[in-house]
Amino acid sequence: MSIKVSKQLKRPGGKYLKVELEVAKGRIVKLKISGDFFAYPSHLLDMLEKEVAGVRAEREGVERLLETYKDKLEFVGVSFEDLKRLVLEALKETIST
Amino acid sequence: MALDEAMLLLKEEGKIPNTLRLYVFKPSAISIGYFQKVEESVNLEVVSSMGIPLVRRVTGGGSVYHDENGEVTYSVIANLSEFPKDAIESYKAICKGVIYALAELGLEASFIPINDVVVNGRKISGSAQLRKASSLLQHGTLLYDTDLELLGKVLRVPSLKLKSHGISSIYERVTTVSRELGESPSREEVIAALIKGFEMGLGVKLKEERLTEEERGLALRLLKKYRSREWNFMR
Repeated sequence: MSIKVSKQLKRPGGKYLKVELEVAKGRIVKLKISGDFFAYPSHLLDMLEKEVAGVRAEREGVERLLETYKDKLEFVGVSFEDLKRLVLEALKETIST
Repeated sequence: MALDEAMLLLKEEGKIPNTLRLYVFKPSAISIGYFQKVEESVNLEVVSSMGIPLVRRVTGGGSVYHDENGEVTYSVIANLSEFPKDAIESYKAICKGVIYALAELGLEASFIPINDVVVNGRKISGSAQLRKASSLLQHGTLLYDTDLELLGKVLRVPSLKLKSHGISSIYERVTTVSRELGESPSREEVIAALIKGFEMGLGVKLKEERLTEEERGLALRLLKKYRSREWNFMR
């Protein structure tokens, strides 16, 4: 059985960001990042989604993986920290469920 | 969309000059941002029953209804080094062209970060930018006589976003030149205003040219992607 959690945010003057996380048997099955923000190079965000799939659903490893993208991606309208926070919040919920 | 991307790729290779492209979607169509989920950004039931084509952009940002009889799309493809490094400052620099165009049409408009041009507090133009190593593409809308009721029906906005703007529908947040002026300029007048506006806003003298064979050829090759379900429904 898999657990799906989604988190979203929209700050005044900022853009909309949504994170959907699916976890099964202690591993991340799927991470989907969407919204009307800007990020470039955009294919890196696609790559991040792919790289996270299959990773153990535990905070430390996921955070470490996300951090490797920090300096490579430029966000407008949301921040890398926003993305990280939503992913980790979603992860926390899937673990505690 | 294919042509915008083709021009950006060719600009990145240094093969074309800085370019302003003005175009109209025919038939009316919807474009969505690169990172948007289709079902969250458009009302698929209405869109498919009306047969309105939908295309995902290479740029981020939100969904746009391109009314064939009420909207002109602009694209600026240029060297990155000629614009401010800061993303918002560069949006502002290019949106100046739209603001001068609106002044030309008789409206006082202003830039609101991140990427909006507003008249009387309502959005009349939105823009989206993509950067490569040495070049940028910024494309955007100018709503001059868009059917706003239809726009409100076909586009969808996440409720969290509407709440953050303190409104209940997208219809309240957007406007057109004709709504603000009480009469609609012709498409030709809008295009002329945009050319003049961008010349003033960017401080350049534009020279009209036809598409090159290279631009057309690359756009045709990219067309397949933009027509595929795999691309348009990837999120």
